[in-house]
Amino acid sequence: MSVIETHHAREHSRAFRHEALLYAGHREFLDGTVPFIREGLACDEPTLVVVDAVKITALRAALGGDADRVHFADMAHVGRNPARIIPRWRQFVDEHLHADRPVRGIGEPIWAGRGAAELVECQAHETLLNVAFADSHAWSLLCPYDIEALAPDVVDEARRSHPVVVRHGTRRRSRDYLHAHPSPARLDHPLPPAPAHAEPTAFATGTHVLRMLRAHVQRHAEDYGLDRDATDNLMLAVNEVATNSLRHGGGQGTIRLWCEGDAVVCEISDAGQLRGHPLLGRQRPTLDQAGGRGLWLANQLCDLVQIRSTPAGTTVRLHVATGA
Amino acid sequence: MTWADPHVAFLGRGPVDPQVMYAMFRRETEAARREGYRGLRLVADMDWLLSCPPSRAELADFELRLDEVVRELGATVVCAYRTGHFDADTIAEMVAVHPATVGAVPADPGLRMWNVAGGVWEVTGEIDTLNVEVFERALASMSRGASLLRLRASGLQFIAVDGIQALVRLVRSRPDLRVIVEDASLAFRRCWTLFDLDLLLPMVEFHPEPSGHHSARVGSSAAPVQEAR
Repeated sequence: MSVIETHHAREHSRAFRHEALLYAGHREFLDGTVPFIREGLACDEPTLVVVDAVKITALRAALGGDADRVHFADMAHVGRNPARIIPRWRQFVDEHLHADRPVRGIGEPIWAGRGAAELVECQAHETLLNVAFADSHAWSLLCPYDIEALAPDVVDEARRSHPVVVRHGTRRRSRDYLHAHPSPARLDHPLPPAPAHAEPTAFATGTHVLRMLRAHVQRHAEDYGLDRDATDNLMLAVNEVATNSLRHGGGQGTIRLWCEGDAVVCEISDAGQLRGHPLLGRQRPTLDQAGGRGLWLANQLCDLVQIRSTPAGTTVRLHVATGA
Repeated sequence: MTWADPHVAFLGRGPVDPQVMYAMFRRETEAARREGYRGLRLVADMDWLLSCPPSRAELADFELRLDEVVRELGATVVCAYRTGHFDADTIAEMVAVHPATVGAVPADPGLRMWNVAGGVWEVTGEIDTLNVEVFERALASMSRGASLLRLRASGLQFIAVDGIQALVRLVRSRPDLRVIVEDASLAFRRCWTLFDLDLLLPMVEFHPEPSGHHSARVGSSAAPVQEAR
């Protein structure tokens, strides 16, 4: 690793800066983030911090009166589904980035409590940030990783998804960084098998097929304890994914539902291969675009969306928490 | 009881002209009232169309315009479609543009639309990619010549992205049109907002459900009926 500089100084990079801050414990978190925020405030740079509620409180206390000049958002809400984080950054950058005034952010999407399925999607999110903002300029994003709490392989992955790693105030280029990730959205990452009791139900193009699928989902969702709003969300998301199967997946597919922890999971599989942009479902659709709305909507309505696609077919798993 | 030969009453010697038919309804209603009847009840054997079949879209448009006339006249009209004489898609679309049916429905479209007042249309059922063309054609018919379209959606149990896009295409193609969606479900409103359409298309407004309003569920049973309300 080469040292870039010993501290953040006053670099006004014209490119997107995506850096991992490796910290151990509360004190190091503040030592790494507060100077980053103050540096931005000194240059009047709009700053958005998306971390958990406890850290927001700690940062507000550390920043004192300056905290009011910083935008805060709770990652537990923004990043419940990791696919919703990039649109939030996009919105902030679009609203605040002007030619002569850079912006900066702190985002901690990965914490020790993330489940295994969420973790993979968070790691995809971190890689996709490099795709999403490859052409952006003058904005810096610092992603804290708690090396005390996280497994070593998670920290290793942070080195692969961030061009620069910051530790004890020193910024170094990451030798492990994958500039061109072979699968930025992790579409080839294997999913654990569905539980044996989750019987597959086949569906195929027909006049009433989507209505029947929605009714099928509704019955299971209610049996599994989803409330009406959450059931409506799951039915909408399933409808859009199944519509993709009818249009692009050979006109047929299978659906399974099961309960996993505190979430209802619905899996839709078909024989088609997804050939969209890696950011599919993470870019807010425009009025004029032809498609790409279904996966966007699914990401907005579900707590987690796992998409896997190979030449053998495509599988989408939609997770909706029973307590959502 | 008055018997009318549609080839004479509606067609003359030309193609189907809905205006000729609507004018006949108005004349007959006025005549019935002059004779002391409360209104007009009409049973139309739609086989008369077979000699000069309009397209499915033209037929649906004709039925929706007729629904406005029927509602305005306070008449009751039964449009009898012989299921062996019309294809399943046509039957389904004709069911979609009538508030009620009599007899077994061989092809349920999953949604129904009918006129409830001047410029106000009830939409019930479910809209997805498999019946969205029917919905989109109906939207064009309902809004033709109007500056305000009111859609009562309390009976609309589901609308997919394709249905929302149909509404988006309508208002983008008709900058002069204002649309009010009444009593939409939370899911419908949520989708609209998630696409920022509330900001991008201010000509579409969602109005809350009026207190005490209940939509009647329309039973599916094959002869579509234009009902007076």
